[in-house]
Amino acid sequence: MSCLSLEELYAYLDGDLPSAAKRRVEAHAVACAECRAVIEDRRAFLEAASSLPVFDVPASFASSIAARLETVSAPERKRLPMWTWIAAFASGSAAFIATLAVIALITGQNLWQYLAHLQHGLLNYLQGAATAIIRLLKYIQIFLKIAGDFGSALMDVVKQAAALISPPVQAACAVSAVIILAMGVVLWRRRALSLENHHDE
Amino acid sequence: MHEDQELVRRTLRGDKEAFEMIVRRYQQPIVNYVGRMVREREMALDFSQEIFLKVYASLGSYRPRYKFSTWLFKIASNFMIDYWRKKKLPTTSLDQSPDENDDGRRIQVADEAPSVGRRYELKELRGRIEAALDRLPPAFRELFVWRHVNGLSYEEMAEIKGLPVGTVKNRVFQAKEMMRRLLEEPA
Repeated sequence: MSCLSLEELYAYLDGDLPSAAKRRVEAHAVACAECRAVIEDRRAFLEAASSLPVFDVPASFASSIAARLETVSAPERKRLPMWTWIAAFASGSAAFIATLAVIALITGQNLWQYLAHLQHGLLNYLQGAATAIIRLLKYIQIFLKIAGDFGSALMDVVKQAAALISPPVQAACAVSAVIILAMGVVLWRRRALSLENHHDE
Repeated sequence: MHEDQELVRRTLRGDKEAFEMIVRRYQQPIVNYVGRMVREREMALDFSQEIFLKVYASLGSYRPRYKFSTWLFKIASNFMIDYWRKKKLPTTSLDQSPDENDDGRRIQVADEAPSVGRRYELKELRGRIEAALDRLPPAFRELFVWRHVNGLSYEEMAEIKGLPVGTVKNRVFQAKEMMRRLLEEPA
């Protein structure tokens, strides 16, 4: 069995080897005294390096930095300057025109004719989209009318039912409704908080 | 990590106490890193203060999709590079191998010699490691300190240095073997 490479050995000490390779290193170390000695040597070296004494930081370190923040200009979220937007628009337009020119060259069409064709297609598309939007608005209008009628019918039923119920029962119903609503809000809030805590963890 | 983003957001809204909290969270790792690089406590504290002020001034360019500690170490690392350049200290690029003739792959330490753990008391061994660190080229010292003092992952180090993970692993390996050889030499 060939001896371990140093890279393999360090990867083993780093815990960076897949389990099969790790088992192979361990099996080899049992059989080979030389590699076992090198593993012991490097392990002692790295453990000592990882436990070097830390530098003492004075308790006032953070507050003394905070006191100096006045001397530094306050940070601001960086935004892209205006010229980058202008450059992006200009390069986009240039790329569009270049693409059209290439298409016109390939297809052999006159560029202006091609643009007119494109414009015609675009107008047709816009016309279709406008018709669809108008149709959608009409459906919304019909839905709102039905919902309004249903609401007023429901209110009539409630009013008639209220006329049949005595005032103390009405008050009891109103209080129950408020309690149920409040309980719902509390439960919803608790669930939102528990989800937030879970997310933080 | 989530807490870091929240503290950054609050600082950007003008809350200086939030930034003080950021400093408290990271003062020890940054002072340890800088301290191991310059080996002098007072200088390490001064440099760390400057680094945190740079972090504050640049906070607007921080993007929350990156880990805050990685971004912080990147600023600290750039600060140290500037320092070495100003001091005109010899630095070795991470792109160049410290010893081209040595492939660093074979077991080389004399096997008859007992392990460093047996030869030296822990305190003496730490002293020798500190002295060896001082003799390591800064670029390799930095990686060694990040890995074995700050406990950064190879992925974090790769992101800070903008290098592939494999390259960073290789350089850390070289740094470790250079250190190990320096332990054999008289301090």
